[in-house]
Amino acid sequence: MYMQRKVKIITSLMCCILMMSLGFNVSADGNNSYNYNYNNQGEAVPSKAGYRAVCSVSGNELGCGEFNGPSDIFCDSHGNFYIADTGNSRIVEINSEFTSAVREFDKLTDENGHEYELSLPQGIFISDNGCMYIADTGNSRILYIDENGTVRLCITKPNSAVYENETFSPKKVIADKEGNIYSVLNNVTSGAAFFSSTGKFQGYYGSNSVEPTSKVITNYFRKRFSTNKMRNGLARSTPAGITGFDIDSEGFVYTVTESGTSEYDRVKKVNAAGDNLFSGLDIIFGDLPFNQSSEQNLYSDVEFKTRLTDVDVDDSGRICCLDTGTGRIFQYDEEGNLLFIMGGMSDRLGGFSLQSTAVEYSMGKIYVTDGMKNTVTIFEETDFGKVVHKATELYNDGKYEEALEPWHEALRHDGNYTNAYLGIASALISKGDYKRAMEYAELGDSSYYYNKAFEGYREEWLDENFSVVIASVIFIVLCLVYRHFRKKRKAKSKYKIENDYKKEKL
Amino acid sequence: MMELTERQWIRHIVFHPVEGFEDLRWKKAGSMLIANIIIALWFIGEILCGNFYGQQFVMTDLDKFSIVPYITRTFILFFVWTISNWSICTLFYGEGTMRKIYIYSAYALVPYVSQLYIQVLLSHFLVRDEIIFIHIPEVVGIFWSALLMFTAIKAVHQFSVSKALLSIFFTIAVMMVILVLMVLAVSLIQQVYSFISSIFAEIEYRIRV
Repeated sequence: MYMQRKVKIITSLMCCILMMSLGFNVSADGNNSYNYNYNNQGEAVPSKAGYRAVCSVSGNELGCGEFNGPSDIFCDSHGNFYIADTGNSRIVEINSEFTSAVREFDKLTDENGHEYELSLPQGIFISDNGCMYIADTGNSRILYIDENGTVRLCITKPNSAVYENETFSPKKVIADKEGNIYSVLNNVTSGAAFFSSTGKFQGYYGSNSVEPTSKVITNYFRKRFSTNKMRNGLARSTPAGITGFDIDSEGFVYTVTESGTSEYDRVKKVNAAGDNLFSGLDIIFGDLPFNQSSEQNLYSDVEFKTRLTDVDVDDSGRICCLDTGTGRIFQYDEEGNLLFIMGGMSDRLGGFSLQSTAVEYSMGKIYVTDGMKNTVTIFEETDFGKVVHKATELYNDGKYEEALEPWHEALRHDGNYTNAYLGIASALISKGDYKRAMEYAELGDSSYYYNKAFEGYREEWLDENFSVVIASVIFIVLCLVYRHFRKKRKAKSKYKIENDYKKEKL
Repeated sequence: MMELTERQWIRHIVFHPVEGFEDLRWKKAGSMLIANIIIALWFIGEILCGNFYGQQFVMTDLDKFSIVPYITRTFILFFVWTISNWSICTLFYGEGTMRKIYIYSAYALVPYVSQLYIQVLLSHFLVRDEIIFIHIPEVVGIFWSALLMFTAIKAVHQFSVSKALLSIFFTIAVMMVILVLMVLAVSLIQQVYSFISSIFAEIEYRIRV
């Protein structure tokens, strides 16, 4: 009897312990784990979350029926959202609070009453004056709809000699302020197709270039010495086609390329002339290449491929990139500095399936569509995110000293945040506090800022100790001169003694 | 003539690159101790250069310091140079002994080694815009040492210019071969070691069970 009770007590105790440990496991929140950022040496370090997934919204919750593989999301100037619900062949308009669907478009008419039925639309864009552009992929056409909902223009496969492809399947579409239409086409590597506002094909825009790897160069030389038949067997060096793009308020187009093999031209900021403004900056967008000495494998899976698929820019100039390969979203400031990394591959809130398709960044919130979960996940800024955004905004406007306080605040949140150290360092440099600027540059691992601070520090030091420096220089010179003359005199007297000795001998 | 102490010899050699080593050979001077000191200073200089450079040029992380690359870069490289030069030049009828090659080559390194220290020192006073003042002594030191190394080999073996050049070329080739063989040997030894240790582990386990 006694024995049995003892066993009972022990088992219940063990159950208790087991449940407690289970409970702890369950309470580990998907939002707070795996937050990392890259330091100045390219190592992944633990970081605080700048964004928090607040909810994930499905079509049923919005009252428009489940989505089926949504592939694009756009927020217009009034704050209303449009989702290209590809599988259901419709465009859904959602109110700005993201609580209910307002309208659905699956059939559109032009002024003559001709009906246009959508089929698998993959891209949606709303211009500032409320005109809608739809990449109607299934029907191989781009539709331009004015603010009243009538179709004004229907662009189909261009009959131009420049357009060499057999197919025409627009994936994404945007338009600039002049009404020119750009569209990313499937299977086209020459860049985005560029149409005038009347729908005339003008050529390509923002094409990628081939990265000059050693293989490409050897192939180039091999081709010079080979026959046509051999040449056909060689790998062709074609650049990867762009996969997504966005246009900012100043008319710059940001393109993104989903190439798993190269970091080259991953994200570009293209001006009207087609030049990449990011090419001069030494940044790799997305996850940095795996570095054995770093702790990266702690924060990201050991085997992954970065496949940036969508990019979005908001009015502040911050850039969000979506990586389908890992389900992560990378946020950069306008200069291309990495701010935050969020998301990931998981079934929890804030994680994505293999098919996260589009990202939209507006009013401080990030909306991500998932083509397999058929949901839209909404991320909100945390306190840390707010502070960092405030600081970077001030900093990028050149208000270094005003940015000092928010940067310190950011460091109180996350002591690993490299940008904060650099921000403080440059603020202190412009303030003239070089000694402390050197300390912060050292903490931020940046010899560039250290150099700037050191230059000022050295100047200050020389100003203070000018008399001492000059005095010591004069002293050293005098010493050298004295030594030189004494040596000469010694040599002379030695010579004299030797001569006298010789004379004596003679 | 030329009654110089060992320390004065170094000065004489460095500032008389053409005939300095011939004089050294003629006077049968040159000390093993000083040669060893130069090599040790080289080793220390490389470490300083790699880890205590001015932070305005490069940020160094002492946590990741490893001494092995510095040992290979100085000691092993120098010994391999001496051995391969000796083995090549005996075939070329050079008259230098191993000891002499070691001493002469070490003496020839003096400008390069002093350049390392000058670099580190200057890097703490200069900023990035003035990097040219670091590059000048660096380039001068390297070329000076190269010239000295050439005359050292020429003098120690009593070679003509063309023969000395040829022997240096072959020396470098032999160095490559030796280094490849060393890497091979190290990996082989590692495998043998792991094989033996696994056998021991197995035996130990059997005895215990």
